[in-house]
Amino acid sequence: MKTSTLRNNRVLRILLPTVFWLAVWQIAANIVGQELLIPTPVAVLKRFCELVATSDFWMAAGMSLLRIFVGAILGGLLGILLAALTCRFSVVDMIVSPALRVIRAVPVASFIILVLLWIRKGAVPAVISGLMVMPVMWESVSVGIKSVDHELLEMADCYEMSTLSKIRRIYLPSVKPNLVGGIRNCVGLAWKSGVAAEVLCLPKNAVGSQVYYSKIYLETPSLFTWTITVVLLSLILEKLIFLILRDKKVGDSLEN
Amino acid sequence: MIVLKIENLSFSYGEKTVFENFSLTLPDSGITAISGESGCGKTTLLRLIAGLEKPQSGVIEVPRGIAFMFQENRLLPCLDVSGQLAAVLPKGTDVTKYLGAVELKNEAHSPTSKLSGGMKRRVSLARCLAFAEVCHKKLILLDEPFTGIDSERVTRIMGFIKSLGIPVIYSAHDKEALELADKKIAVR
Repeated sequence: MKTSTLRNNRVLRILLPTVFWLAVWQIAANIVGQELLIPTPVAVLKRFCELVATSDFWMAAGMSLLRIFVGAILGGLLGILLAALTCRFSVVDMIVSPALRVIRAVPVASFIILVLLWIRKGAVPAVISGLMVMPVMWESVSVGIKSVDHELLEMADCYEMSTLSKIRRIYLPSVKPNLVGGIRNCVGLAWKSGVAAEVLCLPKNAVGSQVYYSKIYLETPSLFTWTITVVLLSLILEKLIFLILRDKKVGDSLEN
Repeated sequence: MIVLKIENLSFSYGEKTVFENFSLTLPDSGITAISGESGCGKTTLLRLIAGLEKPQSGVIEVPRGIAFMFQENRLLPCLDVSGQLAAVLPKGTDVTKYLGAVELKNEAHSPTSKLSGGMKRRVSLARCLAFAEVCHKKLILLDEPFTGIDSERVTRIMGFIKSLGIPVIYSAHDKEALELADKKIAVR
């Protein structure tokens, strides 16, 4: 009874882990006693307030958000399209599936360096985010499509339902849980790979570039601040994607 | 006039023979009931007539355009009762008549997932009947349509089915449901 009350209390659910991990962080910082290795939460908060007051912070955060958002959306859409094609046509599946599995297995750093040779550095984070997101979304949506109820499809054929109607009434509800899970996984992945690409490519106005400079100048509080910024931006991106989906019919189905 | 002609039909699932040299002729009107024990092949026969199964040998002659009600409800997810009917009908079709026929007019906007087993069966039946009439089908096949529906209601629904004027073949276990047909066929 007490455990369920605890779980249902939203404020407590946010406050308890926040306070707990802040306390752990503070204790760790006190034990180590060196800001260079672990800065205190107060020092990071102070640095965060300083950075937020600068236009450079907002430019870096905004541009990174834009790059990774575009990459994640394009990669996600391509993953969904490929899932539909590989499930529908076995020839496409035979050709595309191994390539997507290879993309998923190759270290992101290899792709970043390779793509950096091909295109201008400002576009690399978006391409890398898209490239990393695509196979994950493909797999999630493929699983959803394959789990479609075949009895419903037989019924739809008997009742002469159009392809569009079948997609809307049968495929979308079936794919929905996988699609939502896929989006959640992809947002985190897009940020990890996108920021990693920024760290290696150092484009102008980028969170990743700031992370790199923090490391070079041994500014650990700044490094922590930019890392927290990435986490916050990741949450914003996730909300943004679900907000866009909600405005469309597919979003309605996702919400049901 | 004949609506269904089956000649020397043979069908088996692997080693298990369901029909061997089975023949049947049905007139172009009325309601025909198929009876028989569980597993005797009632569903298979209806699926063969609907073209959902292919016979190993023999000929099945049926008109093009069949409305088929499956043994399972096969209702679409995330839709209310009227939405289930609207999904298989031309846009803008009024479904009130069919919901009224199966006595579900008051549940038109209820989510299907919240309905009882018998109510879901009636939604499935209403969908098939609406599809048959609106889309001008020549034959209605109903696979155990009255499962979970009380006998008095079955009689009222059967009155509506007869009023459609489309030949109907249905399977049933229930003696009372079988009695409502114009013709009965026993499958062994």
